[in-house]
Amino acid sequence: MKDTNNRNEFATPSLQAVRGGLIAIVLMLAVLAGYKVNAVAQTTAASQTTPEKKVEIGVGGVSDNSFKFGEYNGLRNQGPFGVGNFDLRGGAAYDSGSTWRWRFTGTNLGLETRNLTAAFGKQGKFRFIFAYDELLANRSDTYRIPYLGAGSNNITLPANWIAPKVPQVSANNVNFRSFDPIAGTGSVINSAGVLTPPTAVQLATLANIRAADVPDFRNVNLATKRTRIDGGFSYSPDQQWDIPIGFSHEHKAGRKALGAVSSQVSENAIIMPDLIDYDTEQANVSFNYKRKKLFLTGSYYGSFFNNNVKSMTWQDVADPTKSATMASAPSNRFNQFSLTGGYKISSNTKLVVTGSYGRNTQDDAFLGPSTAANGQLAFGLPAGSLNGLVVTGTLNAKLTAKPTKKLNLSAAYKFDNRDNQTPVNIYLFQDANESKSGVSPFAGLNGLPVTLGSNTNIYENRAYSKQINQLNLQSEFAVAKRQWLQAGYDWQKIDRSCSGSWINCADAPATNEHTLRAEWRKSTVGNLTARLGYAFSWRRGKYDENAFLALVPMANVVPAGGATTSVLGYLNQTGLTGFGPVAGLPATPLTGNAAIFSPNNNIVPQALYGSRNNINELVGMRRYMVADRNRHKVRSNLEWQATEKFSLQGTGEFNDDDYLNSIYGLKKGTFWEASLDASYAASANLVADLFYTYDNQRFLSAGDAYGSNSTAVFQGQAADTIVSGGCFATVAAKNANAKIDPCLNWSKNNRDKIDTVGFIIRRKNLISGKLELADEVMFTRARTDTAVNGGSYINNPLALAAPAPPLPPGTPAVFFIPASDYPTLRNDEITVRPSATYALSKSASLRAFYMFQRLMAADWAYLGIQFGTGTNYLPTNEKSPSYGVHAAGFSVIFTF
Amino acid sequence: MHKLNLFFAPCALAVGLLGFVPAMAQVDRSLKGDQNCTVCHDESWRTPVLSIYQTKHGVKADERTPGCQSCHGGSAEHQNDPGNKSPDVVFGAKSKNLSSGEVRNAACLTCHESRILPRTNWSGSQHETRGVACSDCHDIHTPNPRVLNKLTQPEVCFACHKTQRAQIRRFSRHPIAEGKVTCSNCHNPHGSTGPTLLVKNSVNETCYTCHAEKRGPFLWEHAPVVDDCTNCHTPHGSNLSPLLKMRPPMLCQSCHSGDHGKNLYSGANLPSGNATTVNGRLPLASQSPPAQGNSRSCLNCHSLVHGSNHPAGAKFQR
Repeated sequence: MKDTNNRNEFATPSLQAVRGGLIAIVLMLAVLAGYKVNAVAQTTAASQTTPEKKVEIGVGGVSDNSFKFGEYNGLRNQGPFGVGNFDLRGGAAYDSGSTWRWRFTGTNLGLETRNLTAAFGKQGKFRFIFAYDELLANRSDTYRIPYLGAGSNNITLPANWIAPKVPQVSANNVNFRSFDPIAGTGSVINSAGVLTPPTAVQLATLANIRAADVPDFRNVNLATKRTRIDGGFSYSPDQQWDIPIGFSHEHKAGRKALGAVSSQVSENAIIMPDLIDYDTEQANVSFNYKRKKLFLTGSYYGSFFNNNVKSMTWQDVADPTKSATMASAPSNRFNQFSLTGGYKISSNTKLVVTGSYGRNTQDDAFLGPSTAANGQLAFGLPAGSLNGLVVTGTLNAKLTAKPTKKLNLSAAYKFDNRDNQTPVNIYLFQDANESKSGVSPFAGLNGLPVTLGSNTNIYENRAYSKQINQLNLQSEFAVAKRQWLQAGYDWQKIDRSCSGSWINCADAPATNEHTLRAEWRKSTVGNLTARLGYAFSWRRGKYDENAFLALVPMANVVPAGGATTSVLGYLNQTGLTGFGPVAGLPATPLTGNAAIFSPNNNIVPQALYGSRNNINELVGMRRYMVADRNRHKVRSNLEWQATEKFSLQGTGEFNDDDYLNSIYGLKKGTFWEASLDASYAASANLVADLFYTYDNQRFLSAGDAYGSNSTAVFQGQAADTIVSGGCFATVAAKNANAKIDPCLNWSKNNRDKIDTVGFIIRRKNLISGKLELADEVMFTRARTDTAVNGGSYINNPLALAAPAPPLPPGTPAVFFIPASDYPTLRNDEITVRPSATYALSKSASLRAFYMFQRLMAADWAYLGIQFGTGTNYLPTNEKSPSYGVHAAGFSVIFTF
Repeated sequence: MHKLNLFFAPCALAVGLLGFVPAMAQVDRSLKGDQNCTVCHDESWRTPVLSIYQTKHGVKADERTPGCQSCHGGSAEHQNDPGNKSPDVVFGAKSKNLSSGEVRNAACLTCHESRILPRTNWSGSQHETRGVACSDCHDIHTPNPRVLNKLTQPEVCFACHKTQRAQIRRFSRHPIAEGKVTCSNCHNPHGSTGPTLLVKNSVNETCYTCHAEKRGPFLWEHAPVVDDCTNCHTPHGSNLSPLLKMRPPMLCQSCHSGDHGKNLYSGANLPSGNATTVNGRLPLASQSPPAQGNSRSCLNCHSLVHGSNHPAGAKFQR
């Protein structure tokens, strides 16, 4: 099938602009031909005091298509583009009796990043401003899917689509490896333990799938574009009052990639082209009142987001008779009123108090049972929409004082409240494309339907609220002339909760963080500036490992099946978390509630709290945003003006976050950076800057791929009991300790190492002041490595039940396979951007520009989305966006 | 005596400063007054001085605008002995007679503390307490100040913020180098009520000014999202798209250890991985990397991590 959308649909206006630019430049060059080339204008008092107007018109070209090169600069497509910039300004002369001023600017007029701004008014009285802005964000140009309808909110599979399967593996399950003639036709080990190639029928099936499906994949460009209009007006009726008013409307449209799971059971997923069609309005108005010592302002800010797309629907690649629907981001509104007062109590003491009150609402209609496919919402909904309401309130007070010439003091208090008053309800739903089965242990209880399945999720929404109380104290003392010592103390308490929740929902309902900091800085006039700062923070909070239960209210209901208490009751009685006992197989079988809620010492079964997934966490898992933390921060800066022409600057930064009580989850985060800048200014005409920055970031996290304790003693057949590697020698021992097997602990060490080098040089006043040259070279070398420690048990594929033969004596039935590090993620980019401006006359100059940019990218995320790699997620065949692109052009600049 | 000093010292300082303010206010801000300076600092001066008349500060018909001596002080000594004496207030960054940041700022705050474009939150702000002066960023005499141009403003900020200068060059970034987003879109360098000088009260409120679709409230909220966008994102640039601190699944597994979130995903799970075969005879289906560990990883299925409004979207899949 023919590829569509291989050109950017937003390009048409650009081409028009190019044509317009070309015509204009021809006209301008004709005009220029009539110019006598004069000496460059000499500076006069008039030239310095008269606003200068500039118009730039030209043409350029791009050597290659690259979405990444043109990600934000509008230069995505190979071919010509127009150069159009202007800056027109004027108004009454500075020495006149009028304060009229106006300015009209335009940039990037030939590209889809164009901007137009117009402002005019009487200074000190009123001012109008209008702006138009475009921003194109290119996201991918190698993305391919078989779906039709990209650009709509309902994408469908072609009529000839055959559900992809690898029949020698499974006659029923979807398997995208079938798209590749090699990966899809591999041999399998059959139930007799024999490696068996696919049959002729199976090969024919695979050939049919490839012939039908592979040509259906077509390119779809992923890009979004923001188009924004701004309007503003400010009015000052007198020197005491200012009334600025602003309004903006932004339309965002296009497509971006979004993961979409068709079936949670088989975890079939696609990356679909999510339709973006947003309108956002923002408005603000302030009333500012000013006296000599007093400043008061009352302001309003409103933000109104409207999503014109309510849902995305797509057909299931495994079964095109089924579709699935995903809700798009709901429209929402935010209204906020603020009051600020600043009062200068004395010449050296000032108090500023700010308060705000905001309401964030959202009442988009829910997608109902009829739009949620496949009986997902068969039990109906508790409400037609969320009626969401979040009330925000802030209060800030800051007192600053300079009691002596050598001492500065400040004290600030902050209160910031996000009070989520959204109604809380129970929602009953089936997982994606999963039919109801079994009978829920909560069917008919607490008013729930009697037909609830054992795989029906019974969830309650959590309306997260957060309240911050913060105090900042700081003093600064001049220990010597131009030398300061600063000390400060900060305290921050954050309370987290969910209004309407049946139980605490916050991992740490309250955290307290204290910070002590000190900084020394010194400057010697025009010569040396130095700064060194250090801060130590410690954050502590009581962690609630059973906060997850807030999502599943059935944890508070005694399930059918013999239990005498609820999950919560059991956990409270035993002091356990949802993880259950931290122990191996009990010596004797558990009885009573223990046998129901933590059989074999395993985790609490999900069905007993009305969930289709285990949502408990490991004991010792601490979510890092609230986990206990010690933080060290160091900042340093040294600037040295070595000579009048040469200066050096070095900066350093070090952050260390130690989540000291986290056994699992993020344990450490470290970042350090060092920069060195050298600047040489031989004269006002020659300036060169060179810099180098190195930064290094590490995150260390840990987990445990624990299993379920079991009494199974062999894998496959009775004699197949040997484990190779790992922490246990036998299958029996491994299974008895599956939940606490130390070999299943893992850790990951993520490390970013990035070098950035830049060189900028500018040379003015060459050739009798007519020529100006500039060059910019930037190089970034970025590496992300993820080292992985740990491993997994893999069953010997030949350790099968009869009729397969037993393994030869001494052959491992299970192997422990160490983990491998992730491949290095690499992005190296070099940019060279010289330009030259030559003065043709006192009012015209010619600018030539060139840009070369090369990106060398390697990213493992693309490895599994090629034909023949993943089994259950649709390949998009996207490639790492390496490129090498040249862009060049010239323009004429008129100054008048 | 000590207590008396504590009382009198601030009073004396206050009186001194009060004395300074009227002196500033009484200068002749007219062109005639400016001629005290422009008689020497004319169009031939090594740096353009008269170009201030193109700027808002130079509109003489606006009675709020200053004269030369309003900012630089009366500078009587300098006028009497220009070769050896400096003006009262010197703003030139490389001048050996550069006035202290406090003195330079006082010249600006005379008008801008509460009267004209008030910088109410400047006092006690991070920049103020670190000795940053207005003139470190603002070129008052030029009609094209770099800090007021979206394309060039970052250069001004990067004079100090070197880490961010490097970060905006990374693979995943905001369009800062293109001048479509600039530092002051998110930060108010003059002080604010938000953290890290953000223009709004919080990180999230600031992000929502451009990403309002993330605001919700959603039926199913994701706790770290409503808490702080920077729990997962690093806004100045990242090697990991989209502006992520870590790549999933590592990022997600920093908080999730239940169900398949507990599993170990590693390079061995990738097509180029080296450990998922056993004597080359692993069953075909087992050779493929799991969806949780590849491509978009967790986001292949749990794609609505910013929140879902679907009644069946509790797992951020709908």
